Amino acid sequence: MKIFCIEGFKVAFEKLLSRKSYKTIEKDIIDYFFDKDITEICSGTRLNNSDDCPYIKKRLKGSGSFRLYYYIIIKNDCLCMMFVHPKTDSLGSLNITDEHKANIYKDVLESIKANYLYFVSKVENKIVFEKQRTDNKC
Amino acid sequence: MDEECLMKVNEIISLCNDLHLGLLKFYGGLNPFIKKGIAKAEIKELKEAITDLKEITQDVESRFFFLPQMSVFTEITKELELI
Repeated sequence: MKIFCIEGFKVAFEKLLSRKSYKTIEKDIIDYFFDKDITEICSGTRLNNSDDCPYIKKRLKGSGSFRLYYYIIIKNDCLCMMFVHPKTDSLGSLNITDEHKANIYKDVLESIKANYLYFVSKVENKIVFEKQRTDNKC
Repeated sequence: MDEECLMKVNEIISLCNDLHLGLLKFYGGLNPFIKKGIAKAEIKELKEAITDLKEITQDVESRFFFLPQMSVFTEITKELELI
C-alpha cells in the first residue's frame, strides 16, 4: 500500500511533532498505517458513502489520542492522509466542523488533480515526506 | 439508506444527546469527590467516556445528516470516484 498526504496534513503533523506532549504521534501513525494491508486500515467512521473510496475518520489508540482523517482508493492500493488533530492538551479539540471535513476533502481532490501530494514513507522509524513524483501516483 | 432507517438513526442521536446531557449533569455532581481526590482515575475515565459519547454522536450526525446535505461534499465524492 502506498501512502500519500496533502500539504495540510504535513503541516499539522509537523506542528504536533514539535510539541513535547504530542511526541507519540509519529509512532502511533507508523504502528497503525505502515506495513499493513489496505483492508486492515478501513475501520473507523466512514464519512462518505463510498465502499471503493472511503473517507475515514480514525480515532488512533482510542479515547484521548489523535484523530486522523484519510481517504483510501482501494483499487489503486493507496491512501491519502488529510488531517490530524489531538483530542487533548493545548492543541486538542473534541472534533472538527463539517465545513472543515468538506474543505480537507476538497483539498484531496484538488491535490490529486494537480499531482500535488507528498509521498509518505518510513525510514528508521521516522516519517519522511517527499514531493510526489510523476512515476509514483496515488 | 431509506427513510425508516434514517429516522431510527435520528432517534439514536437524540437519545445519545439526552444521555450526554444527563451524564454531564451527573459529572458536575462529582465535584466534591474530585476535590477530595476520591476515585481519581475512575472519574477521569468517566469524563473521557462522556466526551467520547459526544464525539461519536457528532460523527454519526455528520455522516448521515450534515455531510450528505452539503452539495459540495457529494460533488467531491462523485469527482473523486471518477479518478
